[in-house]
Amino acid sequence: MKDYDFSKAQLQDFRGVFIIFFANVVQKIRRYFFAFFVPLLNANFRAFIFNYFILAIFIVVAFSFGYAYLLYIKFKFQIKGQSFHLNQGVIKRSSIEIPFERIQNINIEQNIFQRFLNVVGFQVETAGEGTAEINIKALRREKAVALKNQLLEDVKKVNPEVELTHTHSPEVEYSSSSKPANELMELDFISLFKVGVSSNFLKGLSLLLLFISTLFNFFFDVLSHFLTIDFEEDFFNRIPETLTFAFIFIAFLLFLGFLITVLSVMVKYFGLRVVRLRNNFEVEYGLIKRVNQVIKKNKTQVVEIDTNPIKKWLNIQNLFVSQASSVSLTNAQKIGLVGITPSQTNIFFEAIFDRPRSQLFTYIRSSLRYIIRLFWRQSVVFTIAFLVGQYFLGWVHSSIIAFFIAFILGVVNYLAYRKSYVGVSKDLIKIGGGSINTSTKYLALYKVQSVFIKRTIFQQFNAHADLVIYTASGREVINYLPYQQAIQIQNYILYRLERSSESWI
Amino acid sequence: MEFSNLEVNLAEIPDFKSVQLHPVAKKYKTVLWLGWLVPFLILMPAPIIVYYLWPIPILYLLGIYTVLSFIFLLTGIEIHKGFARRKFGLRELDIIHQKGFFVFTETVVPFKRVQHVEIKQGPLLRFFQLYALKLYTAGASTGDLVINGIPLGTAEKLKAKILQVAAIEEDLYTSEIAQDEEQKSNITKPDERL
Repeated sequence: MKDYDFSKAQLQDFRGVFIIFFANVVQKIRRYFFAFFVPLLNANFRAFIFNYFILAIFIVVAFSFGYAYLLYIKFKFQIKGQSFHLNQGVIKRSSIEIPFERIQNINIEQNIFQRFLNVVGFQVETAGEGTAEINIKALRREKAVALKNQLLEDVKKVNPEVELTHTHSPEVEYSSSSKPANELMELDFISLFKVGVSSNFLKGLSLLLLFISTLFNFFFDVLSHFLTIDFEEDFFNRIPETLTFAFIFIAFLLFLGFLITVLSVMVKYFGLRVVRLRNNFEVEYGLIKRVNQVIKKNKTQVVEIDTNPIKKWLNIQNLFVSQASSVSLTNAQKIGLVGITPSQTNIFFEAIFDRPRSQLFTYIRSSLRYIIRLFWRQSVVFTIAFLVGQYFLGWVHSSIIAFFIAFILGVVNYLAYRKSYVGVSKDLIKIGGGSINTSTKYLALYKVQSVFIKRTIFQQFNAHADLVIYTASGREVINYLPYQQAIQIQNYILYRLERSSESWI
Repeated sequence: MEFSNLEVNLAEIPDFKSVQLHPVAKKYKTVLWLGWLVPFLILMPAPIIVYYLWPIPILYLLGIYTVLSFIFLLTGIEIHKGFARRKFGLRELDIIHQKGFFVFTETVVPFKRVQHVEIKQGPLLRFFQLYALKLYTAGASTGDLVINGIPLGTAEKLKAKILQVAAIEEDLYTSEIAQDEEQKSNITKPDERL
């Protein structure tokens, strides 16, 4: 490994110019994508303006490339004193300085452009507002690793209680494919396929519906403008002709949604690899965008284990980790170890929580009234959907469908009620959730930030309460617990928390 | 519910419900009513004015007024009935705050999880010489606790108390780290770079 002197101002790799340029072009295409249709639509228009159009594109591209070069020249980073410095910007100059003690995370990742040019992206994250985050777009892998090691070393000197990864293991070769001895898991293709097949494909379906509706809108807009035909009327007149058509159409959508889900899950988690480094874990995954993330024991707040009947049958689970963050985490921001086997889950669990997964928990379950709340929430959408359906299909058909959907909702709500609970043990909190799937969340008692008891006006009458537990990664809600028991749990959590000497991070 | 397997006797656990709670300043109710009145005075005449300038169907107008008066009625009840429930209390190691009529929340934040404390005052509060105490915890801002409408003296006392306890905790924590450090430095080589 070559030595790099990061105390002098460094430029990115020259290939960074292309990365910046490509990213810029992709962004422009995304923004002005409709402009590409303009010259194709009208012959006169095309003849008149086509040359100018080409010329304009050429100028924009040339200008973008020049600008990318300037950005590259002005982008300088270095390690100076007790902090990491970054100067950047052509028109709007900015100078960022991150003191070592504020550095929380260092990521190396590779998207498809970076992979094509054989460079990696380098990111420095802080616990703060997220504005000071540093994103170096192109470095050679050796240099990125050297920078990472150097930074980790420096950070550890300043902030020893922050247990960062890699400091002890510079011998880990990132570029080689040799299998480290402490690898927790590596997802092979068949397991990846299992994960895809057992995913919740309703998500893919909604994505598809969104896409189709946008596409329809776009085409109706464009076409009806040029050819004075009212597509909508024609289209909607034909829909209710046969119910068979509707069923085939729905079946087709379901299948497509399923396919999209399987593919997108497989692309996202392609080549998932989890390496254990003492008590921390390094996770790497992705086909198009290769992501490298570190799960730190101290920073970990909530561990969620997700399974469903198909996953149980295939003997896999999905595990999601929420780490401390200045904003509430969305599901996409959680780090996923998908397709993990139950025994691997236990190894991971013991490393993060320092105790075995099977403990004596005291449970409180949500009351049956929780089902009423679920129905109440669904009733608005359900009623609107029913009225719309009634308009197109008539009373008979829409009533049959409504009855069918109500039955499904009933089953789902019942399962949601059955699976909703909170449990406490000596050191852990366990929260159950899910309906068809089963989610089990674990968090250490001393990582709790604050506890709420929330009661709507109905709950004030029927002696129930929602328990809300805040951690540094967001909040967890347990719905409709009996009020007295919720208070007991709140008291217990506070009691344990206030007598614990452990820090939340 | 059985706590027997948790090695803690339920009777030993202090119950936060038994704590004596203090109401916020009475003047704060006026602040709340003013905060209600201003949008009321702006929004209630607006549809009528629009109706005279711009002929919209009378049915729309009625609909708008139904929704508006419903919202103002509910928020009014919330202020009137909910004010008596706005209370806070201190225990040895945490702070309790409760509020709300339609949705009643009881929040407990342990002092040791407080990141920093802020005493705030908006223009309306300034006019009534009241303050708001904001406790920041780690993570998203939705978990932060705000006690509105208390006099400066109370706010400062609360802040001092919270910071005092938090500082003691912090000291314990840092001394632990220092001990850890010592142990570590005995093992590892002395630093060559500095």
